[in-house]
Amino acid sequence: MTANTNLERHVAEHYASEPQLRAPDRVLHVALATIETTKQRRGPLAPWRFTYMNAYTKVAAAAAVAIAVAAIGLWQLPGIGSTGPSPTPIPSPTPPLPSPGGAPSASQPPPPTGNFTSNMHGIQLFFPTGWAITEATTSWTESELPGFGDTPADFIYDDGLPAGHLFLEIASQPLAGASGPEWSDSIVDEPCEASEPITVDGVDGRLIACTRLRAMFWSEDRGFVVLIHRSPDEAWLDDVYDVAWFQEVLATVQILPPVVGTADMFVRPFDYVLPGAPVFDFGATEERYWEVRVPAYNDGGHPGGLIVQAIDGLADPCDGESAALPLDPGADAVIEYLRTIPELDVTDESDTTVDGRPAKEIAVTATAGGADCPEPWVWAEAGEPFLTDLALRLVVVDVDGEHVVVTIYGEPENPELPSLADAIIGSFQIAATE
Amino acid sequence: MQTDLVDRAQHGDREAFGVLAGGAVDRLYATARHILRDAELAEDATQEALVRAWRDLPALRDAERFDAWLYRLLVNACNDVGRRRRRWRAEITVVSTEPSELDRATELADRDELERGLRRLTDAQRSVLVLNFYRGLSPTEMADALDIPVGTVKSRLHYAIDALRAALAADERSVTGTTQGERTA
Repeated sequence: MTANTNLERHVAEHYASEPQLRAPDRVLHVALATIETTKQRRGPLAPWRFTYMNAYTKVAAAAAVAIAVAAIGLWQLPGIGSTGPSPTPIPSPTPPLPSPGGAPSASQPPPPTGNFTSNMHGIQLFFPTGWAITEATTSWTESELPGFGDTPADFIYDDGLPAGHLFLEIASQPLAGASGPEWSDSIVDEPCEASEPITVDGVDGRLIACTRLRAMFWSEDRGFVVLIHRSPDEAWLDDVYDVAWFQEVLATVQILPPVVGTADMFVRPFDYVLPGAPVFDFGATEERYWEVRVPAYNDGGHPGGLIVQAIDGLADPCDGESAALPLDPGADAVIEYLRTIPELDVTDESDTTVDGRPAKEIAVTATAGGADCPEPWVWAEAGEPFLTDLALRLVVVDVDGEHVVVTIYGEPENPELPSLADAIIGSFQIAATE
Repeated sequence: MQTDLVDRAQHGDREAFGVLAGGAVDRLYATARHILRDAELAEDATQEALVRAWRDLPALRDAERFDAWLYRLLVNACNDVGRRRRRWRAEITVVSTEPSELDRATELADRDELERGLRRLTDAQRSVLVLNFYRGLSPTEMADALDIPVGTVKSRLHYAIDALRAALAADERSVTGTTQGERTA
């Protein structure tokens, strides 16, 4: 605490010593000039209402509001079946009604009215108001559940209690060919025989209730875990955060669906499907350039994503301003061009396909070329050089004379990314020649 | 006075909005400079925030929250322009640190070291530090501005400070060397 306080003081002093900054006049002038031709937005779902939610959340929240209004006074908590074989349906995505009285107490938990979307795990749920959040920044690849504070899981916790005493944990991973029950059996956590079938957001799962209450559920290709951990040191937590309360939270879970779209900035536009987990967002999308990446990876300091770019070469790869170098037709011509650049290490060439079209896949790493060529500029349209020592996977395809390169970055640091990238590339459907 | 201007601007009065924008632009720009560490991007973010403020102002239901709302728009705009430059560049290398190194890191008052440490943070981490320590917003005011729970503000502040300590310690040890973000900034 002392170390933190000292550093906070240094930061405060640092900012206090900064000179007063004034905006250049053009900032206001340009803004006001733009406003002259900008209409105000007026509508029932104006942005301020949902400002911190992403696109999925906006839709879900709008639906939740509508459902909640209809359900007030009618909806009752689902009871957990005793031992029956039929799954306990859990309504979704209705937010639970606040508990009467509102404030938390030894017998009254805070109402789960806070909204959280897991960018890493692609689900949304409501959590107790006032709890703190630590978001996952790495993929969960092990069979053992992440411990409190580990980077592969999201943690939503009561920071009024000692660390790790009371928290919700959210994690997910690909089923990797296993069935849902097989995957659930493979996950290592406390031994617990008390298991009930449940459905969460319309998919099958199990509620495993021992010291922790753990919901395991699975979509077609991904398994999800949501659990509430209650420290044995705080026995009263079991009574307050009980199965009924946990089911209230589970009732709000929504598995984010895949995102389907069209990249229409190319000569031949292509359709794509982005998985719901992890959540992808878009980087620059401009003429002949389209990028998607995983914001959770970036938050962990290891950016990862895909760039699709229609390219030409450069006459002098050490000079980003040099003339464009048109390449011969075909993916092979792109590979040959890359091999002419001394600062590029081009390896692992193989054949592949993109939407049935013949393509080439290679691994590329830029190396420092000294003072004359510290970083190679590879594409005429890039706007930035390849970064030294950054391992890239390139998939090159010729689309009716347009050289299209898919660059996947951040794979070594993000172990789930290679399969995600392959799935995204596999979803490409390139528009037919007119 | 300001609420009157906000009310007029909400109803399409560009002149009133011009007065509001003129009174806020320096504050917004300075905040964006500290978040983005880049003058040109800060200009873009400030302009973007002002244009969005004009466009979405009719949706602001409480004119007295205009200042907090404007910070929210600015932080969003900073995130957006920051993403445009980001592409495949890492912004921070998270390094675990031993307690003794952390103590050493917290003693570093040197301005350049702190500046380098701040540069290694993500825009989101710098946003909470800037709003809290530079603009002097309380966690409650930040929660209002960022539209997140107070508890989340506190945890984000906590983790931003932790990340800064790690960055300072890493800088001190010169283990991670120059980040890609610095090279191309």
